[in-house]
Amino acid sequence: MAEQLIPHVIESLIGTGPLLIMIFGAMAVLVADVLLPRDRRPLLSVISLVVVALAFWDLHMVGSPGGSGSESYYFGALRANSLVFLAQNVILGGAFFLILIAPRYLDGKRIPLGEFYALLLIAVTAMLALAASTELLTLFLNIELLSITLYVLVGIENRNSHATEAAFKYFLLGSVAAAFLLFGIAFVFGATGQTRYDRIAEVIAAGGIVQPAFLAIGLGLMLVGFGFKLSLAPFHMYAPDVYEGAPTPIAAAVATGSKVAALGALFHLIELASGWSDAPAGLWAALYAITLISMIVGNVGAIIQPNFLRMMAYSSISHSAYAVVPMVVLLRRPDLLIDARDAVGYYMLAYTIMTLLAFGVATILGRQGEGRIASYAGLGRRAPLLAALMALAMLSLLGIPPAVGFFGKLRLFAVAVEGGHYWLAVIGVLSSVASAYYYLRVIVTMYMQEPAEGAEPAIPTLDRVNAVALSVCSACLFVFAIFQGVYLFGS
Amino acid sequence: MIGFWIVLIPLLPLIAFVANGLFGRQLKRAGGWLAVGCMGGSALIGTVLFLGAVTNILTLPIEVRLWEWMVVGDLSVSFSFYVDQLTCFMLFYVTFVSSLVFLYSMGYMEGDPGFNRFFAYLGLFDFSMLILVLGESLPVVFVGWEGVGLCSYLLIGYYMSLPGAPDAGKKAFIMNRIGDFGFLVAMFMLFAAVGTLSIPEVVEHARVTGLDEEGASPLLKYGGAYVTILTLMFFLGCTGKSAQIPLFTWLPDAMAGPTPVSALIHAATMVTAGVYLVVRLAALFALAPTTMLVIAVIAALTAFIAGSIALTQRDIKKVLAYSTVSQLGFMFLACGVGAFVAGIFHVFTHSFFKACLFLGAGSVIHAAHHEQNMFKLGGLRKAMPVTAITFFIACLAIAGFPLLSGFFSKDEILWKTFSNGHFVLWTIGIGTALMTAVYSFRVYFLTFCGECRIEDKHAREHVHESPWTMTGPLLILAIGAAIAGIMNLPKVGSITQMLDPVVASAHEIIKHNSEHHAIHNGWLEIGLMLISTLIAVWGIFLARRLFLKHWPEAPTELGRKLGLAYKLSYNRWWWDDIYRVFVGGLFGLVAKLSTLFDRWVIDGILHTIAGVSRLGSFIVRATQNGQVQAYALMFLLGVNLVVWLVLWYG
Repeated sequence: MAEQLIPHVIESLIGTGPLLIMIFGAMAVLVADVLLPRDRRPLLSVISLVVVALAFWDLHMVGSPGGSGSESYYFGALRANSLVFLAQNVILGGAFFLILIAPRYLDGKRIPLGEFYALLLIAVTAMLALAASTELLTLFLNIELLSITLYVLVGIENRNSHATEAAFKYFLLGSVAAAFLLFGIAFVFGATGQTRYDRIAEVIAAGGIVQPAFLAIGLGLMLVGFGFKLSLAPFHMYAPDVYEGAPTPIAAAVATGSKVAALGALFHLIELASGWSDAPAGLWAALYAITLISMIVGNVGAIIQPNFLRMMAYSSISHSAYAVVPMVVLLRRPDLLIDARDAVGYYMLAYTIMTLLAFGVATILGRQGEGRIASYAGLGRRAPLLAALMALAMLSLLGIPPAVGFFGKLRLFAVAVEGGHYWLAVIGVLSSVASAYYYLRVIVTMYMQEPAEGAEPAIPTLDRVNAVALSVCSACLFVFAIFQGVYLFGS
Repeated sequence: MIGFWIVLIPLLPLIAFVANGLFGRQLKRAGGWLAVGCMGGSALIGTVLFLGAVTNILTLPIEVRLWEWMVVGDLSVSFSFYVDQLTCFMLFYVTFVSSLVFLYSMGYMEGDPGFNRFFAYLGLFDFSMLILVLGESLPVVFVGWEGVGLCSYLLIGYYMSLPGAPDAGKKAFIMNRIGDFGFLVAMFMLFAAVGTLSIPEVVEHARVTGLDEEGASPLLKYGGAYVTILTLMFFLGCTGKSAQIPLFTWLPDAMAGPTPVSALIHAATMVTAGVYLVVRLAALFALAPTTMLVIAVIAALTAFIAGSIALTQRDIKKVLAYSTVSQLGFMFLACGVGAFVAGIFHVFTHSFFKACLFLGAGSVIHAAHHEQNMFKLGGLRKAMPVTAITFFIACLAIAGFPLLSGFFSKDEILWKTFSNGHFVLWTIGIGTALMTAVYSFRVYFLTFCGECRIEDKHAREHVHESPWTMTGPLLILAIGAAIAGIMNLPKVGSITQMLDPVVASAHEIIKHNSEHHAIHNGWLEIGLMLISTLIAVWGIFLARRLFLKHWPEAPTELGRKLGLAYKLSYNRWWWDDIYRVFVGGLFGLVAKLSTLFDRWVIDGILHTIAGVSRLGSFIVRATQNGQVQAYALMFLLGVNLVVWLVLWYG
């Protein structure tokens, strides 16, 4: 064994401190749920906030190896590098935001707080670990831990048949995806005899691949599993139903944190695959095809969705596809590793900020936010602040400078152009232009249409905490566009 | 450590902006004082930096790298500040004049319903202006450039209910957009040629090119005319911001804004940004003699035309506005003939006397219940002694009366024009100098001397001297207007020597590339100095005869005799009308054609695309039928696709 056992374990425990804090925090929430009197339950959200804040603090205490440095924990099972660090920051920041936004929504739906927060914290733990996973079984375990908690969270509102249906669909298709992922893992293990990425890389480098097709199929099937988590077409079918049926904050978590974690894990895998110099071109072609299909399906599908959350589901399909673009390039051009990593990292950040802002506003709008886009009519007059924030989120998703969305896309497509994938860049930009149709429709509805006579919905109320959370989130849209150089914190 | 203080200079006005913008309602008058304090702090740092630069205690240039702004492909822009002698000089006078105007605004804007909004805008303006001055790379300068444009727009339209104010704001904005287009194109061209937008690097490229130090210079990659076009594009940007022909017509209209704004933005600071840019990139301009000539000619014409218009306007602020345009012409004239330092020195002295004139005018307007027509003022000297005396000093300075600041800077420009062989331009310049003396003293005599012609009896008795917050800045500016010229006297404290490192490369290039040499003759210089002195004195006496002794008969008589020339001047050379008829008509036609094209061609294509997309969307939705079995089927198709591709592709 290369590492010294005891020091390595201690080092790993310290290095994964945020994970431990989150797990114990989740347990603390469960215990507190039992101990606290019923009317003190709202304290649970404060405890959850403290837990996330502690994890965030510890994450920065541990820090990032910075630059292109990398650290490995638990005998290669988890990795720490600047991308992981960024992903974990984004996940924790997003969780903090959601916990701030959620309470009133949960009250309105009578969702049990204890279970909700405990499961959410466990899900966040799984996300943190997933983003760092560099070992096949760890990867599978983390994906499953994340999926199972999310299945429950999606259906937590058990009086609502839509939610139950969504949870069930998510579960069924998730199981299929997990099966393929495991299948792929088995192939990869069979071809290389290793589960650690670094060991697999050694085997590949030593030319020890007897059956290249096995390894290629294994990786291809793993892509299917990731395709499900990232809701890439044609593995996306569950997404609209889940986004619509799940409680809105959970839909937001599925759309952001879960995807960021999966992107991080996928990047490690693609980084590994890009080191396989005589890999069959088919692997690249498969990822290329999935990306292309997702861009088109996502953007075209969103156009006629009458429901806001379904529209966001399709929009998130296309955004996942954009984020995968540098990975497609990476498979062909391993020399672009740093560029691709920075582009994916920045996009994680940008995508999370703008998506959370949109979902945050939808959460506050409650019933109205989950409804038809038409019910947003006149929002610009009734709730100017909320409407303005939603408009900002839409413009950023669309990619209007100077918000983060623009720079995110710019970086992604710049990598595609640099790596010679011109068509991918062209189709990406064109499909992103098409997205103007449905993003702007939200703005048009809010500002230029009036609700039908007599159907005037109530003016949504915005308490101070929510207002501050949303404002900070919208400020981030611009802050991270201006300070692009410092987004990798440690590096 | 010094980096911190440098960053603090633009940061303090930003704090004033944020405080007044967000918490104005709570702060009320304290917000104004906060803004004054912030600006005063900036001015203090600016002054210390300037003293450090004059005495050579500071090692310049200093570069403060804040963060990497954008790194995309070959383009890498860092948000950095660059402080050299020129920056120190600009920082000094911008922060100094600003803080005085802030203080003045405390009095002028008192009781205005938008008091805090006003200070928020002013803070944002100063922040942008200081970014403009401090920026190390052209994109950062452009951020400031746009920022000051925005604030200018907001402040011109400050009195939203006033007829014409919003329109004047729009006009300024549109005119500036045309200029900004030039700036942008120039930046693109520059980047295409040298691959960097960092100003020191660009200047270094220009120097190498100009002195033929290396064989193939990237600047000449696209031929010799490239640099000429590029610099002309920069100059187009300058004509917008600094109100030169053909884009000068917005500045007089901009007087719809509050008077402190006219003093600060539309006289002392923002409008000089163009001159600053030219001096910053002096080496680049020096590479293009054609551009230099164009600048000199346009500048001289602007100076002359604007000066002639100023002679007959009746609105006190309009006169000062045209005078500003005219003086800006002088500054560009200096740049055009290669005397960059003389240009920037005139920026400096001008900021004092013009700010003093505008603030004086503001004091008058404040006292006379917003009467701006000089024909309805008059005789205010007794009621407002401080305003009158400071205004008088500033008039002497702008007229170029010996030993006051304007004399030194203007004389320097005229001498450089002459010595570089531009005799025709020199003649125009001397003519303009005469007009300058006449129109400035016309304002003085009509406003402060003679009979009081305020019609409303109540208002007439009510004329009073302004509060100390207004007269204090006036006094300081008047002192500045009187003595600022000393700073460029040889041996006393030479701005020329201080700024020499900034423009040294430009001078080298000009010397290297031109055959004939500038005239150096001490006696000739003194002779010309005497001529301009006589001109100034003559102008003052002319004004006294026309507008004090024999007013209103003599000017009316003169106007009738001059006929067309008078009409030309009074109607502002019909410049606005020409724009309205020709440019407006042309664009109306283009707009109509575009509508047709838009309706039939563009919309047709778009409707087709939209139709296809909607069709696709229906198909996608049709697969989304809610059945898990169908979803799983789709999933398996995807798996098939992946496996087939992996196994059989390539």
